[in-house]
Amino acid sequence: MMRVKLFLAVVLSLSVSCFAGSGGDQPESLPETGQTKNASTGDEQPTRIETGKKEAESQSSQETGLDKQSLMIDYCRKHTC
Amino acid sequence: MKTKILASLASIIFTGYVSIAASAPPHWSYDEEPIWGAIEDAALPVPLRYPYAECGIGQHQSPVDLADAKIVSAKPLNKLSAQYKTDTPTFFNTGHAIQVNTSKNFAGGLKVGKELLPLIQLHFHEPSEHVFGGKKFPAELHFVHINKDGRIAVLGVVINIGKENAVFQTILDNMPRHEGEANSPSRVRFNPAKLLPSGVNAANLKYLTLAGSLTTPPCSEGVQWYILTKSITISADQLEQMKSFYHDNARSAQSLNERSILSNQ
Repeated sequence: MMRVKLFLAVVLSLSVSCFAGSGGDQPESLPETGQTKNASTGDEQPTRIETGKKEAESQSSQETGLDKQSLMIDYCRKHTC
Repeated sequence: MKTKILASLASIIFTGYVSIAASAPPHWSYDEEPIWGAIEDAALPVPLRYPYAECGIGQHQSPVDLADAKIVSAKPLNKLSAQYKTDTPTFFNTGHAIQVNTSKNFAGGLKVGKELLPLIQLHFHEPSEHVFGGKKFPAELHFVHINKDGRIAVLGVVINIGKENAVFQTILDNMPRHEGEANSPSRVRFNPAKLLPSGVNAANLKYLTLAGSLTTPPCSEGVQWYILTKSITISADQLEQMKSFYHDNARSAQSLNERSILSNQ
């Protein structure tokens, strides 16, 4: 039992590393760079793009939510849950 | 922080697992409960290879012994209202429990504060999963709800032996005998609200609540539990009928790990 627990802990540690690694590579300053550019050029186009992006992200997040809901509903109808 | 990372990871694993392997999850049984976390799905890559890992390492697992926790009743809690309507459901033998799936256009659900969570299914465990001071009840009913984000809320009702329950008999009479079989009789009208304890105000239920998990593999956390403080009854004969389908299909009480149980009474 102890060996199984240790093995699971190792597997999860590796997974956490991969998970953290994939998220950690994203530069945190990217959105700020975009804002600085807007200010310096005075061009409003990027702002619209950013707004569009946010709307798309929001829509995408709603779609993801709905997908997750349908997946969970499907799962819980077939299994005891 | 560690808990959040583990919870995120487990959520990713479970979502991936549901997406990839919803049709054929690895077999599990209640006899294997101590090793659920180590059950392998050799067809999947690591970390999905251990789809039930959360059963072994989760820190907010269900069920629990309700007597082990300090019950906090000071905080104002969401109003809980069971808004179930009459339905033409499907009676489904899952292989682990007897279950009633609501129809796809079923509009009823559990209203938590201002949010209505649709009722997806209800199922039974024998004996109860939640215990009080180590005492098990003869059985337990779980109403399973899923909101628009895929979050699960379960309304739990413990079952005692007493007066025969006509609605429960409808379930027994229509339940298929074999694992994986479903029965959708168009003549059967069924209202889940009639399985709530008599005398309770369905529009303002009294409950205990805590954060927990599914009580069956993959034991996913992030499930909000609402446990009614009143029980329902079925007759001794009905319990025997239920046991002829499944018995001892109850997970043992899990460690609370500092969780609080809140009460609205």
